[in-house]
Amino acid sequence: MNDRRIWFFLVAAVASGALTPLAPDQIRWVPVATSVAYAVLTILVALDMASRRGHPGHGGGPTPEE
Amino acid sequence: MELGVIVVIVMALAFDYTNGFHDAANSIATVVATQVLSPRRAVAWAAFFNFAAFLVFGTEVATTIAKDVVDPSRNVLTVGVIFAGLVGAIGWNLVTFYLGLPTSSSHALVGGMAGAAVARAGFGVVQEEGLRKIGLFIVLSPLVGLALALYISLIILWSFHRVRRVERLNRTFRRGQLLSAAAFSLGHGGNDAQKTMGIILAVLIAGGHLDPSADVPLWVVLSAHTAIGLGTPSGGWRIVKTMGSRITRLKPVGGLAAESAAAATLFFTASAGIPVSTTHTITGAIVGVGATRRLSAVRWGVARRVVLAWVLTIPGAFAIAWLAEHVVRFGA
Repeated sequence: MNDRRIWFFLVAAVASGALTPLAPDQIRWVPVATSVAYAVLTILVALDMASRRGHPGHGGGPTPEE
Repeated sequence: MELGVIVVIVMALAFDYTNGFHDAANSIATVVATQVLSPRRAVAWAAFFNFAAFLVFGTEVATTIAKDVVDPSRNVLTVGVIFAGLVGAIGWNLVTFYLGLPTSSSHALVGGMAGAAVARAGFGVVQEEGLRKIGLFIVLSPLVGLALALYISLIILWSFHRVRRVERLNRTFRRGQLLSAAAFSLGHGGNDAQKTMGIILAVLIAGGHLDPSADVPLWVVLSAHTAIGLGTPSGGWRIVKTMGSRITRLKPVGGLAAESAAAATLFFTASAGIPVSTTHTITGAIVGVGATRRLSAVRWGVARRVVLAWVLTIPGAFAIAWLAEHVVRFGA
């Protein structure tokens, strides 16, 4: 199963990181923190995908929409 | 006080009023979508907290609008230029309101002010650093809202995944959503009413009624919050539909996460003096909640249309204001 969120989060991480040089010094931490947050999400989704491959029957837990 | 200054102040307050009804959807869409409040009560709730925001926030965003978009030392911001800028912003807001697109009043205003000033004196009058900061957060505010909403959702899910009494839990989240909607309305009022304060501050300086280094007078703060508070009940129901149900379906826990994330983002940007789009921010947060499930839970067709409107806002308002400035100059 391919989870497209990996690509979305990866692009968001790269885009936020690419904006860092444009940020004024006092708020430069914002794009950096955003980039890190998306990088972590990318890793989490990748780990989730890997664990699902190991347990094909596992459908995941509840979501805010359920 | 001369007539031109009075006209611009009245127009700025009218813009604030339209901002209230244009953006009312943002404050209440998730509360209405999750049926926590009826539309009528939700609007009253949002209007109250939009007004009360003056007790919470300073005037940093107003100062950015008045002094960081167009270079104040170049004396370009005359009453006529500010008038043309407002015409650009209001014109763009009306076009997008008619089309039912949730675009940004903040960026319409920035685009309008820049367009009118450039028409008067060329691109050299635009403050590069101020626009860079605003432009940066056009991209960052929805991304921050999205990430925060996702993390808040994950924390909630992780904390409550063993709870078996789902109905009782939902009731708790519905109550929590009242608080998160109030917080978001506070952030909205704080951010958006300050744009009007910035315009009024600029025109009072241009008219020689205030010193260029002056702070925003209290009567300006109160009148801006009153205008946005009165505009909210007039409501933009077309946009409520887009925001609340077409982007992704929400349950109370999702609404709570989205509003909390958007409120936190707006509280930060308002304190840092960055005018952002409340629409961008809440849309990003709603997408973030949808993305906890899977990306296909987000209706990307609508999201793309919204993004297109965002991209067009500054150039659109810029163009209308540019034209308006020429008309004003010919008429003068």
